[in-house]
Formats: sequence, C-alpha cells, structure tokens
Amino acid sequence: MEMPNIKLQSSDGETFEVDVEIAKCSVTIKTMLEDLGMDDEEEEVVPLPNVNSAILRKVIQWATYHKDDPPPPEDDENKEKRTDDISSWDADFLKVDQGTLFELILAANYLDIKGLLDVTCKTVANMIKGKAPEEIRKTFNIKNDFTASEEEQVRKENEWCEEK
Amino acid sequence: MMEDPTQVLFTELPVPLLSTAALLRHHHHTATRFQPYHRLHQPQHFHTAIHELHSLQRTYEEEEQVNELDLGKTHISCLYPEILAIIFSYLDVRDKGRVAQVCSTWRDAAYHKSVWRGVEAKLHLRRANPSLFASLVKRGIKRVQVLSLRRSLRDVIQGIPNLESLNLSGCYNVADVGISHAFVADAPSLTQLNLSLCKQVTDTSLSRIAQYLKNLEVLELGGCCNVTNTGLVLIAWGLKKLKRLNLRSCWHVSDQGIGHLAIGNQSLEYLGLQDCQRLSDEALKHATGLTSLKSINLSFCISITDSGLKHLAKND
Repeated sequence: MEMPNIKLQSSDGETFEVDVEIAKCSVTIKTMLEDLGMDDEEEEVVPLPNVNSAILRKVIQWATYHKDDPPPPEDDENKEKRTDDISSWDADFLKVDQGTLFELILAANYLDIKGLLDVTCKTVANMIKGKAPEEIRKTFNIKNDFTASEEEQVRKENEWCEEK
Repeated sequence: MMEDPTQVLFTELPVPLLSTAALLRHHHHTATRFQPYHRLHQPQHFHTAIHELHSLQRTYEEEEQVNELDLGKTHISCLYPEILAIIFSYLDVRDKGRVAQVCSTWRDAAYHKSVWRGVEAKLHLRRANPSLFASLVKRGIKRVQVLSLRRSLRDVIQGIPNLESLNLSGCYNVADVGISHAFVADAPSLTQLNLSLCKQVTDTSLSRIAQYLKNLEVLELGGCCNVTNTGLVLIAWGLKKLKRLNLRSCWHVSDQGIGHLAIGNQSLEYLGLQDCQRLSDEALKHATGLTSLKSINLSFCISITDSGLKHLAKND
C-alpha cells in the first residue's frame, strides 16, 4: 500500500504534500490528525498559520532526512547537556542566517518537533559560548536595557559563575 | 474527552488563531507524553502569526536604530523566555552567568530553574552580597560549595533555606563555633555535608549536626583529625539516614567507635576508613553490625589483617 500523503498549508497560503509519517514527527500535526480523525481518504489540508512557506520547506526537508531516526531520548536531568554532538548534515542544514534559525526554532516549538528544537537551540548555544555579555549583545543585536545599578547587581549575582 | 471534530474543524479553518487554542485544549486534557516548553504558559503573542512579529520587530528596530542589515529579519527577541531557557540550559555555568548579564529579558529567562538544574554554586564568601542568596534561591540552586569563607556560615544556611548539599571541603577556618552558629534549627533539606579537611571541627560540631541535620545521607569528615569515638556515638544516634560516611585520617577513631556506629546505624552503605591507623581486626568484627554496608575503604589501615577481612566475608 502506498503511503498516504497529507497537505500542509503555510501561513502565506502555499500547500505542501507530505508523507503522513513524515508529517507526524510534528507532535502538533500528529495530535491534530488523531483528534480530528483526518487519516481517512479525505483530502484534508492542515493549516499551519504560524509557519511561512520558506520555513515549512526547511522543516519538511529536515523531517524527511530524519524520518527513520529513533525517537529522541527523554531529557535526563543528571546528564550534562552537550552541544558538540550535532551531526554534519544538521550543521550544514543550519548554515542559515540568524533570522531563519530563529524562525526554525519557533516553527519547531510550534510544531512540537523535539529533535529539530534540540538541534536548533544547541546551534544558538554554540553561538553564545565563550563570549562576554557585550560580545553576545553584538552577535545578536541586543540592546543593554539595564540601569547602572541593575547591571551592577546582576554582575555581582553572577560573579561566582566565572569560578573554575 | 474528544470534542466534536466537526466543531473543532469549523473554528479551525476560517480562524487560524483559534485553531491553535483549540489544539492546546486538546493537548491539555489528553496529557501528551512530552510537553517541554510549557506551551500553555506562553505569552499571548505566541498566537500571533510570524508576520506580525516581523512587523513589530521592524518598528522596534527602527526606533532603536540598530544594525541595518537585520531589519526585517526575525530577531532573537522573538524567542519566548521558555525557548531562551532551553538554549541557556545547554551552556556551562560560566556562560549561563554571562547570558544573565546581557539584558533584562535574558536575565529573567536565565534565572529559570530549568537552566540551573543540578548546578552547584561555588562561592567565595567574602564581601557582603545582599542579593546573591535570593538570586540563587530564585534559580533553584540547592547545592553550594564554599571555596573560601570570611563571613558567617550562617549567612548560607539562612540565605538558602532549601539547601541540599553544602561542601566546605578545605575551608580550614570552619570551626565548632561557626557550625554551632550556622545550625540552630532543623535543616531537613540538607542531605549532603562535606567537611573534609576542616581540621578544627570536633565532636562538638558533630553534636549540632546530629541534632539538626536528621536527613543527612552523606557526611564527609576526611582529615577531621579531632573527631573521636564520641562523635561516632552522636552520628549513630542522630543520623539514621546516613548512607555514606568518610572518616579518612580520623586518627582518634578506634575499634570501639566502629562498634558505636554499628549499634545505631542501619542505613550506612559506604564507610571510608582510609588511614584510620588505630583500627584493628576488631573494628571489622563490629562493622558486621552495619547490615546495609556495601563498600568499605581500608587503605593504609596497617593493623588490619586477613582475619579481620574474614569477618566481613562471613557477613553476607
């Protein structure tokens, strides 16, 4: 039996036909299909109002490549979180501008795709690592909105973090 | 449990923003297996389409007059605090502390408890730092290592009421008077206390500890060479939940002391007796009374022989 396809519609109205099993790596879509009983013959279109076509195309590309991955392990509190375990395919896939990266994060969050959320968040973490606060502000174009006394307080509260 | 699907569909298709809300309701009562990002608590703008975020961002950036290149692109400020917290959870302690200093939004996100799970704060307690302990409590930090101590230990105990682990290893100036000052009431959350090389500590401190730290599971006394058999009586009397006890180089402890321990304590799984040179085979005969014991360190116990070890072997 051939795999049924479903149609996903991006916020800007573009429709993507996707293998159901691939679409279901999104817990949001999976739940929607189950709750709405949409897995019969009918030609349903799943609207994704929070994802534009450029990002949805990327998400589908990621999900297609990772369709046979084992389910990501549950977060283990005691295990130290690593960011150096991004596969080379994912690293290439995420060589995008910051805006696209953040939109992928928002899409992964909205669509509830843990694997994609993990790897995109790790990528941002890697952009932060080893930088001083001012360098981080420059990297992400963030305005320092602390008052002088707030800045002094938060500095004192975090001085200990520099201890080896 | 399921709503009428046609109804959901009805609200779903024409009004996309409502569809998310309907979906969230479903998520809520179907209790899906994994809900990592507190979707239900996300700020209202979660439901706003990405376009609107774009335009909001554009106005913001025009006002602030920042880098032209980023105009119109999704800015990192579009990420909800919960997502920032996920990102920050991947950073080591130094970088976590630095992101908190970037701006107020990042500070608030960086102080989420999820970011600091399991982190031990390593503190030099010197100058007064009034907001430090409150900020540690806010971050859910329950483990503290004191690297140096020039203020009262009491500040730590009172400042972090839920403290679970306190490491004073090597704080040579910790003395009975400081311990007695610090522990003046039950501290039921404290399960680990490390006093290694706090050489001024005597049985007086152990009396306080046995009285107020009833839930202690790990007690490190390595190098506390003033501890005697009396201290072990107190430990056996007060610390019924103790699983690990390290008495390395407690040279005053003798066979009788191990006998005291064995009378009171049935939870002990590890006993470190390295370099307790007064112990003889008799100590191991007493140790057979420690019915939960799984592991014992006898290195440099020069008077212990094979026949002592036979006591342990029989105790199965």
